[in-house]
Amino acid sequence: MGKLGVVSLAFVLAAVCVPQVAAFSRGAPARTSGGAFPGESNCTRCHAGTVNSGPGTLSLTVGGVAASGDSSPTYTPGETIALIVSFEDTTKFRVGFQLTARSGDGCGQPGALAAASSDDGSGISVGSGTCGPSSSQVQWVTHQGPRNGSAATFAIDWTAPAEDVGPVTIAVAVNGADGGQSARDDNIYTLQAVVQPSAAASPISPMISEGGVTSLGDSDPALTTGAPGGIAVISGTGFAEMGDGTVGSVGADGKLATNTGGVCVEVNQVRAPVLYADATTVYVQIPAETGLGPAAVQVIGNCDPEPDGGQAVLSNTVMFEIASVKPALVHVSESTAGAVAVHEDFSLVASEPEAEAATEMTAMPAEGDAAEDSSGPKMSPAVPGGVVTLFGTGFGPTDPALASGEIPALSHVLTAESVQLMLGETTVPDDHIVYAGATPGVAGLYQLSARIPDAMAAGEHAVSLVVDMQASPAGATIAIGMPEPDEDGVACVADLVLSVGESCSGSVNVFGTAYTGVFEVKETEACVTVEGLPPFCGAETLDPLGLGLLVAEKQSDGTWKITKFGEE
Amino acid sequence: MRDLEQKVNRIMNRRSFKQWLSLPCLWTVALLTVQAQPIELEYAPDDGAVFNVVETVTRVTSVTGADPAVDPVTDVRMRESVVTIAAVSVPDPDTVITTPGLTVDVIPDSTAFSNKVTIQSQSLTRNDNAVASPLHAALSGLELTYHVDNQGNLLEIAGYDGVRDAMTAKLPDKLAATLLKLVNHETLRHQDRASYEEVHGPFTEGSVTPVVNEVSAASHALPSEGSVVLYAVTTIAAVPDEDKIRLTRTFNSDAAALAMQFDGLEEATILEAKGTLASTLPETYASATVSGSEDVLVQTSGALVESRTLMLAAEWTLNAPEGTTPETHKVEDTKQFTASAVEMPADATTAAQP
Repeated sequence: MGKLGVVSLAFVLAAVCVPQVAAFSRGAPARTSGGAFPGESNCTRCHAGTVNSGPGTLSLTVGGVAASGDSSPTYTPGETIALIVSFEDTTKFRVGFQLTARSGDGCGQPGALAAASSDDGSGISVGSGTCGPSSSQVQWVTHQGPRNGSAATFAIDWTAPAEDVGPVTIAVAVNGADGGQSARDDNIYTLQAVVQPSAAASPISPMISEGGVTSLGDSDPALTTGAPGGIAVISGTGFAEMGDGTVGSVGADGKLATNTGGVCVEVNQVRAPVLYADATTVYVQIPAETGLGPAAVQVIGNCDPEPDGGQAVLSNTVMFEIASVKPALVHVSESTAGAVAVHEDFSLVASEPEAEAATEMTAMPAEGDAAEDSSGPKMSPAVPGGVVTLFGTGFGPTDPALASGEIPALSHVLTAESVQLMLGETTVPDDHIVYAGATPGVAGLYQLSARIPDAMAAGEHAVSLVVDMQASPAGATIAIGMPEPDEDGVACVADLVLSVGESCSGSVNVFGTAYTGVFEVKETEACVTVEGLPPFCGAETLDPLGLGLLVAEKQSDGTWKITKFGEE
Repeated sequence: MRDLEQKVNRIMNRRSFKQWLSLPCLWTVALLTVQAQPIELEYAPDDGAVFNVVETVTRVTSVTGADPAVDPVTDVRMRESVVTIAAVSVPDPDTVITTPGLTVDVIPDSTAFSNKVTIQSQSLTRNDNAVASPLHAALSGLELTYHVDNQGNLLEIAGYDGVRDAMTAKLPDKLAATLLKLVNHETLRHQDRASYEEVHGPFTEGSVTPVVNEVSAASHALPSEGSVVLYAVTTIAAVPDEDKIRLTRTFNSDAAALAMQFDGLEEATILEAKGTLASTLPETYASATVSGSEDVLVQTSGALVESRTLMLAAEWTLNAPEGTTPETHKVEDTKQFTASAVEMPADATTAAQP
């Protein structure tokens, strides 16, 4: 049996045989530090008393830094750090203690403990043994003989591990005894502190969360498939140092750098342009060179360090699927769930708040004349004929092609065989697609601008972008409003004559319910659009609902005349 | 003896020697000798002067031949700015100009300028249709400061960090939050600086030396991939009866074609400029050519670039199986820069003082 085994056996024997008689005046048995480690207990294992119920105080400093409150003691690998345990309980007269340090799962021995060479380190012994049921060997330090008096200080030298082992937990238990030979009427105190590795000396290992590589865009569940040239979002911990995130910059070649804030990402071992990095999130552009299919994604922290700048640290690897095309739409508003579109002036496409919604058609704002007040952002529904723009990623290759990290300066249109925008059940005609391609000036982002079809019914519609048969995830919506009245906001009245392109608006009462709508004269027909209903159109005459409440007729000169409007 | 012949031939082929051979050219050379004195340039716009600057980039792309045949596409990116000059006198060598987030060391004992630039608008159109660009929308209205020394060197540009606030103010919140992670204002600053250097760079040395048909060569990247050796013939001359300098440049990757445009300029002379440069075409390319021209007009007093037009047309043909029509791609780029003085009321120019 080795020396350590002897010591360990001595502790075990002491724990089993001595306590009831000698009250451990020559040191506490193993596993009584009070720490939350496997198999660990505290002094109440042998002494009678309620932990931390006495009037005394117990404190610990680590390298001079108090291990309490807002203080955050740290260690540098290989450094020897002074641990000072201070105790006072004026109701007691003899003091004993035990301290241990642990890493990992609570059974790791981080470095080594030793009695300090100072006076406060005298009379302290070091023992070791197994950690709970495991076979891991760990250390404890304890008093060789109790300190007499109401106060005591114990000084220990901790030599931190040679490498960063992550957070280290130090646990201390102290027993304030009355000096009698019994184990009763003692006051027992415990304390536990966490010592973090010094960030400068040893970066924290990055860790990608399970399923933590997803496509930019909003969907539930998040897309774990993306397309080359698109943006993937990596979630986890320890990617970059705490603080504000870093936005990627361009290199001498004018392309986005693959190292942003000391963070690199490899996709199938190909460095990806890093658009943004903070401690928990990294945005990367999926490089085209990685090919299609499953892709292993790995984050590199402290990437490409300077000389003497430490080592690069690798994260775990998480799989991500790469397809040629995988469209995903970005929701554009925090407050309006599902909203994905903006107007030509970049105001939000959304139904106006209830309190502000127009109750009379004549009060409707024109498109772009969006509602704005101090309570929220500008927003208004899209209207037939108006142009809206949706943003997203994974729309696929463009013409001209974009290299990885290249920032599109001009237009780069999709090369897909088919690009369809679905608004509810309606497919927006091809000639209504104004632009589908890369977003100018923004690497990895795509957009589609389209004109809302004239026949689009008002209301909230689901939005789906289908590129080469690949549809964007569900959950995106667009609010369609009533057709835009003419600039003068002409109200529909009997005998009003309108030419092609002109319109009027107003409301009629049907069985006690007011229906608001727009009457619009087009090239070959006239239509009435009522909110929530498909348009009613006619080539010669028009009588929506057949109730005779709004009747219009085409004149011989091509104009339309409203012959009746409103109630009898 | 053979070496001597070669030397004579080389001298005979040189542009200046051939020009000297005829009497008119002799006068030209004599005139050049007088004009070859450097023309001093001092960046000295009037304090409080206001300029309207318009920068336009136009790209026309087309594909002809085998499938696909693509109709020409025209992209136009435009930026209009108002620049207000404010001279900043530097009283001692230790002075620095400090603006929020930026400190600029000023050349000792010199006069510097603080050019207040307001981007009036920035936009992109494709075939005359506007391409919605949230970044351009955010940049429109942005106020910048260009710090320029008395030779016209751009010391720094301040103000691009304001694009972050602009995005937040102009875009829906979640879209703005996304873009803030994707757009680095420092990148915008670098791009703007590169654009400034491209236009003003040749005129920021304190003087410019007139030249006639000076030949040079450079490696020029094609719009797609690969590069060609692009030859340039440059003439810099004072504009008669005007206080201006004109720089004209003719480009061609085909030395023979370039030589044909200039009397007395031999292909061999042009090829000499190539040095060790070489074209690097992808294997899929059968051929590639680039040609174009540049015309810059600079006001001698004030060293102000008044206008610049750069046109470059790149054309490359892909390899095609026998019996099929090869596909030819063409990209024509035109960059235009104009700066025109704006007459301001007296009280307005006073208000522009720093």
